[in-house]
Amino acid sequence: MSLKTIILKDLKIVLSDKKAFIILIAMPIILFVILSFALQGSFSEEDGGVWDIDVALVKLYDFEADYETMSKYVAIEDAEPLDTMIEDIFNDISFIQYDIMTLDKSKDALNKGDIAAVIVLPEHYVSDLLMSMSPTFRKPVTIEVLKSVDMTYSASIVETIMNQVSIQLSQGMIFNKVSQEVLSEYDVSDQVKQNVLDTLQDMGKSSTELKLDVSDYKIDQLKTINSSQYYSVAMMAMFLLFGASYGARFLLIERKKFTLQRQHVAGISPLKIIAGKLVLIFMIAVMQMVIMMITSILGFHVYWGNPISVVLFTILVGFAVTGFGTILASISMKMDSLKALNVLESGMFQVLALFGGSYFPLYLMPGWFQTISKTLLNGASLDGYHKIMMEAPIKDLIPSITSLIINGLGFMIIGIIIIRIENRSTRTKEIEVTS
Amino acid sequence: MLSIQGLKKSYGEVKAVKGVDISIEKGEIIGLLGPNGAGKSTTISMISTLLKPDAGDIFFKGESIQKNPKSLQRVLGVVPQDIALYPSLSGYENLKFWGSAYGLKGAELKKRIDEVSEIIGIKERLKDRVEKYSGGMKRRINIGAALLHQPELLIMDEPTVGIDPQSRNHILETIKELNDRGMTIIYTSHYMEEVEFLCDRIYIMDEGVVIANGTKDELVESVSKERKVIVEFDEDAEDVCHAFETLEQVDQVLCEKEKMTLLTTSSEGIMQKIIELSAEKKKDIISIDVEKPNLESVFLQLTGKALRD
Repeated sequence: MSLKTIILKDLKIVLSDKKAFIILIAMPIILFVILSFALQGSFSEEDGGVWDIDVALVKLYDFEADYETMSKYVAIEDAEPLDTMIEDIFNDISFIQYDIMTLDKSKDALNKGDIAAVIVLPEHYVSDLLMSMSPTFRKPVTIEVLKSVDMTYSASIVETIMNQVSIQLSQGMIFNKVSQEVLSEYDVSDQVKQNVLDTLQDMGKSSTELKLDVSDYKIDQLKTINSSQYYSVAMMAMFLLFGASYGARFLLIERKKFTLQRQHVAGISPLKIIAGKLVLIFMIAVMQMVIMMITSILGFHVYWGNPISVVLFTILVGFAVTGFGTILASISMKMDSLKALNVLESGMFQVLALFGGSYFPLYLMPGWFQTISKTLLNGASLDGYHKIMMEAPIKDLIPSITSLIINGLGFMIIGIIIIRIENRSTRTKEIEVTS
Repeated sequence: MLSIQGLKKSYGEVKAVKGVDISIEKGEIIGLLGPNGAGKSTTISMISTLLKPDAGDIFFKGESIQKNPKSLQRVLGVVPQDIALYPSLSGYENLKFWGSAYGLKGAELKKRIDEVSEIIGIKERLKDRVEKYSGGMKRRINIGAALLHQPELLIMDEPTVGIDPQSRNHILETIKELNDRGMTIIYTSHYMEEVEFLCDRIYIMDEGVVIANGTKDELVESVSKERKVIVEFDEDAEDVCHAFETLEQVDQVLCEKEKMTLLTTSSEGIMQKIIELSAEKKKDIISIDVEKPNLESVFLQLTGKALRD
């Protein structure tokens, strides 16, 4: 019997399964449509545009007046950096564009949807900060972030950045105060204390220098992706896991229904049977991806990138999904139960989907989260497709490609070994029970 | 045709088959009987090359199937107890797949599907999905899938479980017909009457060994020649019970109110004597029944278990 006959038979079974069609094909498309509409404002909506988040900076304080009140204690060169601190930070972040505005003007811009957020620096901002930086005084400083309700995710990025600014500033202040309190415990002259404090403050300044670990999406010079692009890939990547699981069921179902043993009896080699199932998983995955691509292109004009890159990457993702399906098949064979796959689907797949960026855009997540994502089959698929959409150079795709090859090969080899061992031992178990 | 010699198989500590010898001639229908756990399915699995024996060998036309399983696989048909089919595919697609599994293709495959569907009587429903078939039809197509390549040896593991009498009769007739065409069949069933109806020879297995084999008559004879004559009177007959013990051929008499059971090894002329003695004792007979030992009682006597246990 040819491998083709085995595959065709399985494909007929898949195509006649309406429930599978709904779960594997219809569900991701429905979710993609809902999410890309719901989160439209959170992404740049123009294909080929450059990613940026527009914000307004409102200074309610008067630097000259603020400094005047503190000039006895602080040199002007120590005060000026505080005035320009937020601007300096934004200047370092490539995708944030800011304008200094009045509060009213910034609110107008926010309401019109021209900007994602407004950062309001309060009255006496510089003098209060200087006071809080000193060892003996404390004056709370509240920086307000007004967020756009339409550009939720862009606004969240700004909020995240401002939170980090706040944390680092607080750390600097705490450092100064603790140093002062510790020194007061020692019986030394004021001159010595002052020298030590000056040294510590100098050290503190350099160690708490504002270096923000912003979750940069590395989109400099690249095309941006819009919500339809993001979620077409995100939903597809998530439901590929379910596709792998669906294909993985076939081997166990065949064994339970005795058709697997019947094929063995007919002299069909176990390797050919396993190969048939692997090709099936691959075909299910490719089918899912192609249908999602066609739907998103025809229905939503989603740009997927260079067609050759898309085809090659789709084959690679199909291979990795096949590997994943193999390990799932081996688990279900080992446990002799489809319940194992059900548990994985309702538990582990949700976690994988979360880390893979299917629920929340990955650029919102911290660096460690994004690193984990790239090691996962779905996360690497999502990252790779997005890079292709952004027309990134091939070197940017290497991490995703490597991750997918390792995922695919590793899972496939381990899975096949387990299945072969299980095939021998459970054939025996089955007979023992029915004997 | 098939010779099984000293076959053994263990699952860990459990010895499922402890040394089975079976010989099957071409054109025979062999019945394999045994209670659950007797080792039938393990033996069948070893014959069908699904399992490798720990010891012993199976020779098909003189060739060891351990050394060359393909020689048997090509001409072996197996009808498993489970409906080993694809329910979401049509009957035709199932037959096509299993025909291909045995190397049939093109016009030959089509012709065989035609012939087999005729034999098993599902030609009209071939286009329907198997999941829409009745239990009996599923059983029939389960058999059909094993017939496409015209096997020389057919193993049927309880092929009539859970179906209506009409479908069962059809299946039994089909098996007889296949055997008439020269097919050799190994048949296992929990239904004694099926085995009695079909099989030329019967192997009774228990606890991993063959405890008896032979034709039905040989098995019955080997166990007991005793007949039971059951007489029912219109009133309590316990008071005349001892009188029947004096009859020459009667070994034992058991009385229970109106019912009297006489055990005898020779039933010749005994009816006449029972009627005469009853008339003499003024007891009216309602019925007389003579019970011969059957396969069921042979099985019970040999294994101490009922077949369906």
